[in-house]
Amino acid sequence: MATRKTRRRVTARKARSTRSRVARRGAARGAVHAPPGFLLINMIPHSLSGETSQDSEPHLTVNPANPNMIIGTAFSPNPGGGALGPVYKSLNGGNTWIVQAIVPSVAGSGIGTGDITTSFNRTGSKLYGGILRAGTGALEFLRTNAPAFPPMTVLASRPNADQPFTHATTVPSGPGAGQDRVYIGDNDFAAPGGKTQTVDQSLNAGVGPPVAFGSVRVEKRTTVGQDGPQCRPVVHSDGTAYAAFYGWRALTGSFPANTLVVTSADVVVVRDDKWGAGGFVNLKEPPLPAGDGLPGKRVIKGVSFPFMRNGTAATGQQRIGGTISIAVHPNNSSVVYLAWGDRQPGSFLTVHVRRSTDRGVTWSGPGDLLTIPNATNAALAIASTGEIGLLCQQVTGTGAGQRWVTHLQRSPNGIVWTDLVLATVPATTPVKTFDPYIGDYDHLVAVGSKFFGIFSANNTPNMANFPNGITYQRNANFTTHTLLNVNNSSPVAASIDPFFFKV
Amino acid sequence: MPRRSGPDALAQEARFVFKGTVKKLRAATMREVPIDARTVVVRVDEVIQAPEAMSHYAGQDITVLLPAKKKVKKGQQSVFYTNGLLFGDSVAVQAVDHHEVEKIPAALALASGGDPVRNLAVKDVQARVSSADVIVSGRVTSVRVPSDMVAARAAGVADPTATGPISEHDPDWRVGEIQVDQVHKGSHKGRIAEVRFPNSPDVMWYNAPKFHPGQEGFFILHKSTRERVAARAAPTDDTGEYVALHPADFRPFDEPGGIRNVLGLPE
Amino acid sequence: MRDSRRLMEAQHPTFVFMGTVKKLKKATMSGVPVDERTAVVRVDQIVEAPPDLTGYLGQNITVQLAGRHNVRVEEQLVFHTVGWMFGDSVAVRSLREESAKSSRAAMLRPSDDPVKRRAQQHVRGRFDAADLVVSGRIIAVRLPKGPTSQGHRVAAGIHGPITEHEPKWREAILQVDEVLKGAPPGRRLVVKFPASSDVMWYGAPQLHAGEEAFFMLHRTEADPSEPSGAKPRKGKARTTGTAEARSYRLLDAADVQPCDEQNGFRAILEAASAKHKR
Repeated sequence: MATRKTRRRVTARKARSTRSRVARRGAARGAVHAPPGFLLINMIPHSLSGETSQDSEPHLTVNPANPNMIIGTAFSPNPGGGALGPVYKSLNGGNTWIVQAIVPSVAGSGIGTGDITTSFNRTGSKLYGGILRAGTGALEFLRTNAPAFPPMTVLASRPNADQPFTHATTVPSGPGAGQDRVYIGDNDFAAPGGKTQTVDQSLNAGVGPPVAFGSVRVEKRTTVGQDGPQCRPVVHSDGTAYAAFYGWRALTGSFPANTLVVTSADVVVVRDDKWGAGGFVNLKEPPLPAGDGLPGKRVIKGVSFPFMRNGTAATGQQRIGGTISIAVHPNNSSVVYLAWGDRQPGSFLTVHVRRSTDRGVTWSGPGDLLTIPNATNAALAIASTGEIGLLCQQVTGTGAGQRWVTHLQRSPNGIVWTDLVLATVPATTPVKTFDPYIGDYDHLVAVGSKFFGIFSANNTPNMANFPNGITYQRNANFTTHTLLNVNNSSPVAASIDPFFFKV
Repeated sequence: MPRRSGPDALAQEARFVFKGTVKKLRAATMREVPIDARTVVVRVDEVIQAPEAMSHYAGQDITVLLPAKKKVKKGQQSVFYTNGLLFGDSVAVQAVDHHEVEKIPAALALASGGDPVRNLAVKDVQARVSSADVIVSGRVTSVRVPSDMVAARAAGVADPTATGPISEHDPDWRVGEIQVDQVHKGSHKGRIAEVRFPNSPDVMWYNAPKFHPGQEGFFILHKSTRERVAARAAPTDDTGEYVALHPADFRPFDEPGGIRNVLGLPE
Repeated sequence: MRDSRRLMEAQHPTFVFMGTVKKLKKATMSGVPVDERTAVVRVDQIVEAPPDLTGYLGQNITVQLAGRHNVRVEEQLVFHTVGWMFGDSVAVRSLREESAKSSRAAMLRPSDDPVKRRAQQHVRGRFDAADLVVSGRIIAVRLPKGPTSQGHRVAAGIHGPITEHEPKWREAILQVDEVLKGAPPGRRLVVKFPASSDVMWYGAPQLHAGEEAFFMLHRTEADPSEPSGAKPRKGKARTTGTAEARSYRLLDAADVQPCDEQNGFRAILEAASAKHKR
C-alpha cells in the first residue's frame, strides 16, 4: 500500500483546471460552471483501492449540528468480512471518507446489509437507522451514538416488510423538548387489508432500550393487495410531519416475467401536525364529489409505471419501479415540494416536480414545475435560503452510447431551474452483479444553505465523465482511465461506487 | 454466546488472520482511531487468511484494536485473528484474539504461505460443512417452479398479487432435484434429494447457488425447516426438504482441493 | 449443395439497401471476380442490416447483381443481398433487385433502425415456420431420461462417442397460457433444447424454470443425437402423457421472445393475424 506521500490522487486543483476547460464547453450547451465550493468525491477510501463491489443504492445523513460529520451508506460489504456491515463516514465535511463497520449483519455477507437508510437526530448526538438485515431480511430499527459510532443497537426487529426510509429529529422546545423522534417509512406486508404503507415511529427513541415503535398505517384506501415499496417521511422542526407514497390501485402483467405494470397508482401525501402522534390524518380530501373525504391527499391519481424485477438494457441495467421524494421548507412547514415518477410516451419513467404552499391541501399544476424523462432516483431538498434542489439520474442514448447522467437541478423559486451535471458515465458497463444496478434510490439533504448528496455510478477515472470536476481517494490513473490497486500498479476492474457531493 | 478461544475456532470467527510484529504501543495508523491502551500498530508480516480486499496488506503497518485484557509487547510476533473495522488511508482491525506463532494449529500452518483468499474460502466451506445436516454428491436432474406456486399462478393469471406480495426482494424460489450418488455426512433416504434455492438476482439473494440440470458436484444441504430465512415467501406445499442459501453450499467436482480436503476424500 | 445454398439464400437476404449504381463491370476491392454482373453501388439508405454493415451508409461497395434484368449507371434500386467478401471494402451478392420507386422497402423511414428491422424480419420468418406459437411459462427443466444422454457415466455407462459437440439435450416443461398459432395437444408441452455452449449449438435458446415468454415451437424430427422415449416423470412437476408423446424443440434464439416485447413481437403477431384473415 502506498504511503500518503506517494499515493496518487486527483485533487480538486487538477479537477478545477480541467473543470474550467470543460465548463467553457459546458456553458455552450447550457450547463453551468460549478459553483464555488462545489465538491464531488468518490467515497472509496485509499486502503480499498482494490475493491470491485457494486456499491449501489446509496443514502446520506448530515449532522445538523455539525455539518462536517456525515454518514453515507450503500450496498457495500465489510471489506474485512466480519459480522458488521459498513457505513461511510466523514468528519471534515466530505473532503475525506473512511469505511467503518457498525451495522448488524452476518459474517461474510457479500452486501454488508440489505436496504439501509440512516438519519442523525437534530442535535447530532445519535444516528438512527432502518435496515433489512443481511441474511434474515428482517426489518430492524437501529441506533448508535455519535461521534464514537460503536456498533449499532437493534431497537426493534420484525419480518415481512420492505424498504425502510429513516428520518430522525429532536423536539427543539415545548412539550417533549429534547426527545428524539424517529420515523421510518416502510411497506409492511403484514399490515391488515393490504394497506401496507406504514410509518413506524418512535416519539422518544433516544432512551432505552426498550424503545417503543408504533406502526401508523398511512394508506387508508383500497389497494390491489399492497402498495409500493416507497414510503418517504419528513418532519419539520415545528412538528409538522409529512409522508408520501404510491397507493397501488391496479396492476397488469407478471412480476416473474418482468412485465408487471402498475396501471393505476395514486401519488399520496399525508400529514400530521403533532409529530405523528395524531396518526397522519390531518390532511384529508374534501368529501364527495370533490374528493373522497379520506386522509391523504391524492396529489395525482391514476399514474402508471413499470415495476420491474430486473433491470434491462433499455433501462440502463437498473430496475425501474417508480420514485418518490418529498421535502418541506425549513423555514415554513406549509411549503412542500413533491417529486414522483410515472410512465410517459417515449419514457420508461418521467420525473415530475410540484409544490404546495398550503400544507398539502392544493398543489401546483396542471403542469409540472420540472419534468425529466427517462429518469429515476428523484431526491428533493430545500435549503434555508428557499432554494430547491432535485437530484436525479437519467438514461440517455442507446446501445454502446447509453449513459447514466446524474443531475442536480436547483431553483430559487421552483420555476427557473439550473442544471448541474455531476456525472455522465457509461450505462452498459460494468455488467451488473445484482439488482439494483445503481440503486432504487439516492439522496439529497440540505443543511443551512448547502446541499449534500450521494449517488452511485460507474467509477471509471475519466475526467470526461465528471464535467464539473472530481476527487478520488482510491488509486486511479486518469490518463489511462484505469483504477489501480493499493500497490498503485495492478489494474482494477471498473465497478459501481458511491459518490458524495456538496454545493 | 461464549467465545471459543482455540485457534481453529478463532480462524472461523475472524476473517482476517495474519502473522504480524508489534511496532508501536498506544498508537494508530489512522487519525480516526481513538488511541488507548488497546490500540497498537502492527506490521503485517504474512497474510494467512483474508477477504480479497485485504489480501495485499503484507508489509504494511495497520492498527489493531486488542480485545480487553489482552496485551502485547513491542517487537512481539503473533498470529492475529481479526475482523475489519475502519478503512481509510490505512486500516484498523478489531482483534478477536492473538496467539504466539508457535501455537497456531497445523491446518493454519499449512495454509501459511498459500493463497489467503483461498484459505478463507476453504474456511467458509468448512463452516458450512460443519453446520450441514446432509452432504451428498450427485447431479441435478431437474429444476422446477414449486408446484403450488405454479398452481397459484395458473389460477391468478389475471391477478399478479395472487402468488404473494410483490417485492423486489422476493426470493423467487425454485426446487432442484438431486440424484444422489453418495452420502458423505448425515443420513438421507432415497436416491433423490430436493433442495430449494432462491433464483432471484436481487441484492438479498444474488449470492445463493443457482442450480441447473446437469450440474454435478457436492451439495452441502441444510434442512429447510431449520433455516429461518428459508421461510421468507416460501411455498406452502412444494417446499423442498433442504435449502441452499450460501455460495459455499455447492462445490463442483472439478474444484481443486476444496471440499475433498475438508471431507478427507481422495482427489 | 450449391443449388440448396442458393435456394436458401434466395429466401433470406441479410443486407437490404437502396443504392445507386455508379459503375458497371467494376469492383471496389481486389480479389472480386469482375464480370458483366459486377457493379459498384453507393449505399444510399440501409433498410435491413446486420450490425457490422451499418457503417456502409454513403459508401461504395461491390455488388454481384442477380442478373435478372439490365442495370444502368445512376439507376437507383433496392438491393436484397447477402454477404460475400469482406476486405478493404465489401462485396455482396444480390438475390434480387427492384425499382426504388415501387419498392415497399424504400418507403420505410430512413431513421428506422436497420439492425432492428432485420431482427424483426427474422422473427417474422420464425413465426411463419413454427408449428406452434404460444405464450406461457417454463415450470421445470430436466435431464431427459434415456440411455443416449451423456453425463452420468459412472452409473449408466458411456453410450455413443464422446464429442465436444454433444448437444446436452434438456427438456423444459412449458405451461401454456395462450395459443397464438397451431393447436397444442395439451396445456403442458415438452420442449427440447440443447444446453451445450459448443459452437455447433451457439445461439440456441437456454430455457430456465420460471421463464415466461412467447415460444415459437417446431415439432421434433428424428435425430440420432436426441434421447428417445422420455417418459413423464412422477413427482411434483406433473406432465400429462399425451403432451409428452409429441414434443417440440427450440434451436434458434429468436424462437423465444420476451414478454416485455422489446422486439415488438405483439406487432408481429398482429400483422400475422391480419395476413391470415386476408
